[in-house]
Amino acid sequence: MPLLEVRRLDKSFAADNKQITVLDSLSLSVEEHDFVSIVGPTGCGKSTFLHIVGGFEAKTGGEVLLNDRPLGSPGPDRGMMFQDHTLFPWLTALGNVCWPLEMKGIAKAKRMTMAREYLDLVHLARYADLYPEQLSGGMKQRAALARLLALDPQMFLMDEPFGALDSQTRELLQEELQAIWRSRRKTVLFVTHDIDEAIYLGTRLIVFTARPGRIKADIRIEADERTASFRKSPEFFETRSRVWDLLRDEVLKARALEEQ
Amino acid sequence: MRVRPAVIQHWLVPLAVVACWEVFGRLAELPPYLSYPSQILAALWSLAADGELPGAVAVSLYRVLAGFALGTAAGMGVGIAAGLVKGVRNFFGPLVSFLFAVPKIAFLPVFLILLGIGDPSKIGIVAFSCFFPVFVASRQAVLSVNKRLLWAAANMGAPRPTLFFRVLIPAAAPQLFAGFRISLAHAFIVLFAAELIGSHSGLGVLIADGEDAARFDLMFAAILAFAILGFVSDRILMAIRKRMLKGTALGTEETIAA
Repeated sequence: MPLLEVRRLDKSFAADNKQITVLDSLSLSVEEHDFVSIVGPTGCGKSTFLHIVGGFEAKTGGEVLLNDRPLGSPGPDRGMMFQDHTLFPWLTALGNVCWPLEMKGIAKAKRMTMAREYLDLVHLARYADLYPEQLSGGMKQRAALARLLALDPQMFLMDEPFGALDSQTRELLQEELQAIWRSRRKTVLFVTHDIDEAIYLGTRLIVFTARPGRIKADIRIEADERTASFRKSPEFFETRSRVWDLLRDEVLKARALEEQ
Repeated sequence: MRVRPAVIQHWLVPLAVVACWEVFGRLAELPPYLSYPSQILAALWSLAADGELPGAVAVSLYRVLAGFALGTAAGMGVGIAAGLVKGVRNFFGPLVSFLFAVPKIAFLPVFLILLGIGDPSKIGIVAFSCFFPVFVASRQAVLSVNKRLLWAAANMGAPRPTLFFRVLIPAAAPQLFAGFRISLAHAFIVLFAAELIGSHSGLGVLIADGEDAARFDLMFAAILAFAILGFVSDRILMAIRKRMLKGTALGTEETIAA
């Protein structure tokens, strides 16, 4: 039984007296422990898809089942991470990581210890008492990742979490996420516009078409080793050029849509 | 001890003005209605010594604080509701826009008829006047809260009351405080006018009495007392704000200036 089952999902909305179809009869099933990277041109509905799975946006039609049950409102079974950190600016890094633990009803002393462990895991232990505004972009996303780990959802929903970071910080965070995913075996839906990132992280790579979003390709990435050398392997480059060929048409279509 | 340049910049102009004022006053170069600083301070001292000033301050302070508290609470309650609920927004929006620019003191006769010449009418008009800026700021504060913060909190399993009190309110707090600050200034302005026009007690009356008796030193002393009250209240509000917005205010111009 797949963890997440999406059947003929539709999403459309009205804007400027026009009906815009964002997702068109999208079907996808995700097994437990899958790391699913989703790439697609701008405006293809990949973020919307994630928001629907997260319960933040309503679907227009179709079915989304998690553990064989229809999705409800947002809840701690699916943890969302956004491109901008969404940490609470009035709390320190530690206070932010404590939050989901408090919502779970964990006693104060215990959650402080746990939160420190999660911050340690993302190399932020020294910065526990700083406020988000005092942290760099990379550190903010690390703190957001620590908060996600503290929430400990069955499924991670990540919407371009490293998209706003510089490339060195991004690679470092990719490696850390990879290590965390390997040790905890979470199921991840990871939306990105960066093909390298999608290949490096994913066990499966989904290419979305230009709007209305549909699945153009569903590629397995078999490599077990996801070290720095994987980034230089023939498999990596083959996949890269294949995905880029698939994506190129869609990016051009998306651009044509924008120019309409 | 070295004096920082910023401190000199802050105090140079006011001190120079006061010094010139004093000198010209003593040289009898100023018109008689413009009492000079040492005269004003002497008058302040005599008013304080005979108990008239403390009594007037107590009366005015009570009115301004009670009115501010009531008006701010009401403005915040309705403003937040307007930010959250479209129906409330549609109902109050046009009403507030219509009345916002009207000087609230114009409604004083209504308050005097309804609540009499004593404290309640002053508290009423101050509260009425405070309601508007707080309403506008609170509505805007709620509408401009980053929706993703609420999403993230809901995602972590926060029930609705928690979302409201521990996410929405702290996220809206900077703008709420901006509203409080404006409303505090409005409170003093409208109270002053209300006491001048229709009152038997308070600092406003003291000012009017000084003017009637051509005792301009007394008049200025009472104005000075008014200014000090307003200034101190504002500082207290800002100190509370700084404490409560630790973290949120970081990285803004404010922390750089501090």
